[in-house]
Amino acid sequence: MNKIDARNILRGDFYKERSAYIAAGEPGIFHCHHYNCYLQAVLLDTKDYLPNIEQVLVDSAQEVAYSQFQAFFQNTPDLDIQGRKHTVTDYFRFAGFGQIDLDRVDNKGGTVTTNSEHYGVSWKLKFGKSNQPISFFTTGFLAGATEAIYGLALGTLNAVQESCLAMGDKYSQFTLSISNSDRELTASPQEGVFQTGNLPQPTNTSIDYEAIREALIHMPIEGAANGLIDSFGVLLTRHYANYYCNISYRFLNLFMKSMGTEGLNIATSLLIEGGRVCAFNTFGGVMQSNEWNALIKPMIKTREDWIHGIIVVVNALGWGIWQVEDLDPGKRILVKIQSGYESNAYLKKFGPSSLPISFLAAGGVAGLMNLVYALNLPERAPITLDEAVYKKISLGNDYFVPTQIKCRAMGAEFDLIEAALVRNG
Amino acid sequence: MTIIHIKQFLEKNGAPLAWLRVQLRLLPHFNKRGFFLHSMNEEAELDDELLELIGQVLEEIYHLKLA
Repeated sequence: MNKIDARNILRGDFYKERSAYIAAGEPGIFHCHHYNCYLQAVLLDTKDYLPNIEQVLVDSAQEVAYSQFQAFFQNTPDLDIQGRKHTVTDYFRFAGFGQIDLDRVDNKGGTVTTNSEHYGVSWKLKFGKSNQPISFFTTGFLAGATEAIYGLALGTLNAVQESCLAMGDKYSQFTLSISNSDRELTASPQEGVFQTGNLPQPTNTSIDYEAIREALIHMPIEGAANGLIDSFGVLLTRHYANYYCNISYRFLNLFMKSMGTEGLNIATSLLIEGGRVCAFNTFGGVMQSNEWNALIKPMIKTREDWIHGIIVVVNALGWGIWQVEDLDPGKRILVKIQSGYESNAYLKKFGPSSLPISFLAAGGVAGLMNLVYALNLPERAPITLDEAVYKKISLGNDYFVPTQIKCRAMGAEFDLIEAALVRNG
Repeated sequence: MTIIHIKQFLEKNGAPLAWLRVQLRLLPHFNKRGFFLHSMNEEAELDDELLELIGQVLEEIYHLKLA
C-alpha cells in the first residue's frame, strides 16, 4: 500500500471568486439531512408512475463519484489499488456520507457493509422506519468509485442495496456486480458553466462579510470516526452539487414526459419546499450555534444583521455568491446569486431552460425570511426547531413565499430571488 | 368526502404542503377520475377507492388517520 500522504488525500479547495468548493473537478456543497431526505422523499413520491426514478437516484451518484475519482486518480498515478480504496473511503467519511471499507470489492464487484451511513441513519431519524432500502446515493457512489479505482468504464458495474439501516436492519449492505443492463450513464458536468465575482460588503450592515467567510471556510467540518458530521443540530454532508441537480432536473424531465405539464407546479413547489425545509433546519441551527454566538452575533446590531449573517454563511456553503440586493424589513427581500450551483450545472448539462430552475435557492431565501421575521428567531433563540414549530410558522398569519424573478439558466445574467410576505387566510 | 374536506383536515393536522404531496403521489389516480389540477372541483365527492389511497399515503408519510 502506498504511504498515505497529502497527495493521496482528496479534499479540494475553496475558490473565493465563485464561492465554490471544488474537489477533483466536482463542486461540493454543504447540505443537511433534512434536505437530503426530504428531496429524496418527494422524488420517490412518483415511483408508482415514474418507475425509473429510483435508478435516477443511483445513476446520478454513480456518475459524480466516477467522474470525481477518475479525475483524481489520473493526477495521482502512483497510487495502487489499496491507496485508491483508502482515498475513496477517507473521502466518504470526510464528506459525512458514513463509514465504509472496500476490502471485499474488486474489479468484478463484491460486497460493502456499513453500520454508519448518512442516508440510512438520517431517514430513520427524520421519517421513522422505512419499508424499503433508501440509500440510493451510497449505492451509486460505491459503483462509480469502484469503477474509478479499477480503471473500468462508467457503467461497468451495477450496485444494489440488500439491507438498510433505515429499515431497522443492523447494517446496510450493498452488492456490486458486472452490469448486464444497458443504462446510459454520462459523465458529470463537473464545474458547469460557472461565473466569477467578488463577495460584496454591504454598507448597511455591521456584519463583516469577508472576515466571517474567511473564518468559516477554514472550519474543520468533516465526518467523525463514524463518518457522520453532527453539527448545528443537523447531520451535515459535503455533498455533490451535481448530484442534487441531476436528480432534480432528471426528475422534472421524467415527470414532464410522463404527465406533460399537468402537475408541474406541484412538482416544482415541492422542490422549492425542500429549500425551505433546508433553511429552517440548517440556517436555524447555525443561528443558534456556538460558532454563530462566537463569530457572528457580536457583530449584530439589528434584526436585519441576522439576515446578513446567514447570507455570509451561505457564501461559505459552496452555493455560489449570494448578496442581499434589497431588504424591506419584515416584508420583502431580493437576493442576487452569481454562479449559483443550480444554474451552473443546468446550463452545462441541459442548456437553456424554459422555466426557472433555482429551486433550492428560492426555498432557501424564503426560509431565511421565515426564520427571522415569521418565527422571530432573533428574539426567541434558543428554540427547538422541530416539525411542530415548522408547521406553526408555515400555517401562521405571516409567511414568506419565493419567486424567482431572474434565472441564469433562462438567459439572465444572474439569478434573482424575491421572497415576499403573504398573509394566510 | 370532498377534496376541500381533506385539505381542511390537512391544514389542521398535516405538515405544510401535505396536500401537494398527496396529489403528487396519486396524480395518475386523480387524472383517471377526471380530476385535473387546472380544473379541480374541490366540492366533488371522492370515491371509496381514491379515499383509501389517500388514507394510505397520509398514514405512510405523516402517520395520520383521515377523519
